[in-house]
Amino acid sequence: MKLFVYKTLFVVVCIFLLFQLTVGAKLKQFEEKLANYKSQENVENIKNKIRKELKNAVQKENYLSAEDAKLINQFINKLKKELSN
Amino acid sequence: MDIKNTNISKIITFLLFTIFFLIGVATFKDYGISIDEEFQRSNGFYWLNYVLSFTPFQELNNAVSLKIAQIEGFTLPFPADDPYYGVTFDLPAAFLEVIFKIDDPKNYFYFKHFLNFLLFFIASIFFYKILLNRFENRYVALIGTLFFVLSPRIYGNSFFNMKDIISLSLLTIALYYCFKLLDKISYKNLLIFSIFAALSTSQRMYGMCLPISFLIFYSLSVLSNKKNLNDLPGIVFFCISFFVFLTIFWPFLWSNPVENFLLTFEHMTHHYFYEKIKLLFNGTYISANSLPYNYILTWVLISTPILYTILFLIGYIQIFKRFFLKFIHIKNKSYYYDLWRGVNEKKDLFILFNITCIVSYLIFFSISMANGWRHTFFINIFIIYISTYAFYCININFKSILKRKLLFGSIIFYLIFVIYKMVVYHPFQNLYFNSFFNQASHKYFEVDYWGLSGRKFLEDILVIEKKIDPIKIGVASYLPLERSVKLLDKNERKKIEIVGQEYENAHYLYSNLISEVDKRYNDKYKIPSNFSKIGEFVIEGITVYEIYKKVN
Repeated sequence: MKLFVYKTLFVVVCIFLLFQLTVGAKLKQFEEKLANYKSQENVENIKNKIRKELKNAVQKENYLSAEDAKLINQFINKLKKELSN
Repeated sequence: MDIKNTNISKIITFLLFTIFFLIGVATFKDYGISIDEEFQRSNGFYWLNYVLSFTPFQELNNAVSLKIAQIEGFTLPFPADDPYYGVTFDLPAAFLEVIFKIDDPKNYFYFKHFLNFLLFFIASIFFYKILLNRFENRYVALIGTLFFVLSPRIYGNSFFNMKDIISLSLLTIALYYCFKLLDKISYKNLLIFSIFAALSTSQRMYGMCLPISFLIFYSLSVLSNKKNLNDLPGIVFFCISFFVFLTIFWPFLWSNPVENFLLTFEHMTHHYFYEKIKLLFNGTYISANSLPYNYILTWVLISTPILYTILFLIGYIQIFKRFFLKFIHIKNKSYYYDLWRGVNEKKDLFILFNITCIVSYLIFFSISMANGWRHTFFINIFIIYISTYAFYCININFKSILKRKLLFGSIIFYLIFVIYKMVVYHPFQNLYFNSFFNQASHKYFEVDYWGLSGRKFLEDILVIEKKIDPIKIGVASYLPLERSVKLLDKNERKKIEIVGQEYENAHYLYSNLISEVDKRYNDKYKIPSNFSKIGEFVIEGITVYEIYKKVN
């Protein structure tokens, strides 16, 4: 009985440590990344990047290339046409 | 000869404790104010008011209510919104503040600093008694106690850290009575142990580690020898008295003991407030609720004198090896206990078990933590115990008296070096980094996270700036600097106006480099271009704070 208790305890501790040092460590890394991604700071960072990009766009004389402008124009016209139908 | 030796060692011990006490008494006013002190004062009064509401002392209750009404602060949380903190220290301190009619902020903070130090001093005496109980050698016990007292971060915190140092002190006293119980179970010691274990648990829940470990070790004793079952009534008595005292000492539990206890446990493991907070660790900003595995180990390594760490590693390996060899040789029937031979081995294993389980729990269960390792300062008890054990073993292994004298000499030489460092750091021992890691630590780790330097900065500003009145000070750090103003003289307080992050209104800016947001992405604490740096406070290559002045 006594040896059984000790052996069980030993096996439980070993399994726990093995799990924590392998799967647990990976899970922790994943959690950290997720927490970082969801953080208010990251959201603010993305917002700032968008603002910066918009400012750049406003400052440029031609933001779109002629080819892109033509393509977007065609696409909007098509949408308009479909919506009016 | 032995009696003469004992008398000399007793005199040395008494002298060193007296010097330690006198130094504390002479210097407790040198320390600044930490950001949590105002909240803890408020917490003490809030719960004192709650306790008094059950008594007929109306006049006293009115005085306490008046104090509560006077406590205000823009960033100060209300204790009812954050009721999880123990009141072991805060409530009696608030009571004494009312009884002694201490009304000036400077005086009541000094008074609490003194009380804080006094408890740490008492704990150091108990630590000496623990070591004497285990090693039965006054010199070894004294060296261990010197390690304990000359742990710069702990010593610095012993004047103003009313959470973690109180917890450490109470746990030390509880451990002494726990050791007495490991020697021999008696109802008197069970009762005293339950009182101190309850006090320590109500201060910080980590205090539970001792009663839980004690019960586990009792179970192991029973597993080895059924005769130990005779002590079962005493163990039941201990469990009941522990829970009774825990409830008595912790007014938050009075309304709903089990639910509130579980709420506190949840709060301790995952602190919702820390979700908004980032910490500078190893050069990057990390979330306080999602710490890397090496967080505690790194902090202990960089902020503990290197000799203690080396001795700790030697001691830990030694005790673990002994335990492991016993473990793999357990037999079904044995004359001895399975995991220890004598009671001293049992005590060593008890300490090893505690530190291993606590650190593993903190690491693997992602427990919320901030501000270095201050939440777990109590593990310093176990660290120093194991360091002392290593010192004891090395001393025993040296057969010649010359070698032993050399060992003592070199340890004392190193302790003098630590004392020198503590004098250099004074009164900022809480910012200590050991010699191997202190180069530009402020770039990689948080230094003055508790804003102790605020007071020195304000005193500096009052010397620098004589013309402007009031001097408007902006704070480019995560710190309520207005709380440090309370440690200035009455007249000086009027000359200072803290404007927070309204930098456009400030004449000067203070930055202790602490930020709760990632400075790479957030400009909250960015120094505006119309301010230029006029000074900084540096200790041993570590920048503690910077002063900026408006130039146009």
